[in-house]
Amino acid sequence: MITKRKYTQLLAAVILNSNFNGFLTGRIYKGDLKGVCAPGLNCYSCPGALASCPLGSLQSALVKPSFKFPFYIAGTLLLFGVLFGRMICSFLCPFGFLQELLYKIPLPKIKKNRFTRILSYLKYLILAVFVIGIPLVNLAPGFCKYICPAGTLEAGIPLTLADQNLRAQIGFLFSWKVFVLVVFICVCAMVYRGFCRFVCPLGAIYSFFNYTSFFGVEVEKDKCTGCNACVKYCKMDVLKVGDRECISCGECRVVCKNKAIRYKNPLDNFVRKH
Amino acid sequence: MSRDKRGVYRAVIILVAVAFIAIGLFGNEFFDVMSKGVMICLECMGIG
Repeated sequence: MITKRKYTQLLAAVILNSNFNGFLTGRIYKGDLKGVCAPGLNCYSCPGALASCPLGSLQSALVKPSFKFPFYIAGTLLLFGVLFGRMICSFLCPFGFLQELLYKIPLPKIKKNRFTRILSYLKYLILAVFVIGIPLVNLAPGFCKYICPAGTLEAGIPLTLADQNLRAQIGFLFSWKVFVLVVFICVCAMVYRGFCRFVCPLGAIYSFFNYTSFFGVEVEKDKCTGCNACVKYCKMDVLKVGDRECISCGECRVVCKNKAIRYKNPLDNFVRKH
Repeated sequence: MSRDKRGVYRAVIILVAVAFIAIGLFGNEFFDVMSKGVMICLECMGIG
């Protein structure tokens, strides 16, 4: 069944990549909206992209030889984080949507386990090393350059197909990035949101806001019996609903017999007294 | 986390976020992001 969430994901992916002409001409959008960061992982060199990638913009700001704290990008990430937390991963991220589609490929599936839970910490290491460390020390956007499969899929492949000059510049790095992309496609076909859970630094940033975000899911403690049906049902590496790994998709609500899981009321602090 | 505590955290984060965005806009960082976004990112593509 196609849920409202799926429609939202599709709509977000289309809106964020609605420079349709770019896919035909191989030219990227160059308007003012490129000064705005998209909430999810969406390469700004995708021919369809209207907005900038927050991770790419952050690395680009850190790469500059004269270091200047990137207030605008940090503020944008803080704002997205406190508003939505990791709900962005489940509702607004085009790459998250793609991973969910890949998981529908009929292949053997690897369920979450203790190892995947440990592996879920890897994204924090990637955030520290590739998004912050390498750009600061090595003056290269480490994540975009060596890892990001979204860049290869959304920008590398369509632009090299459309532009002969770019195609002539293909070398080892491009082959490496295509290899990384193929690995992630295979992983995501067998592991639910394999990139999102283990690698995505943007999800790592938003995870810090899951407890404080305005939107997301939460448990009504007076209704919860602690049966853990929600955690067992969830395909992410959560230990409880709303923790750092929870993407607030809300799918666990259907298994809660006591209806203890609900979407947060963003006005709670203003209209409710406890 | 209690509701009151969460409300305080939310307010502080929003204030900091808005302040950061304002400082960034005054520092022309919007155009820094835009100037990067309108160029093809060779690193992202796997060429640069």
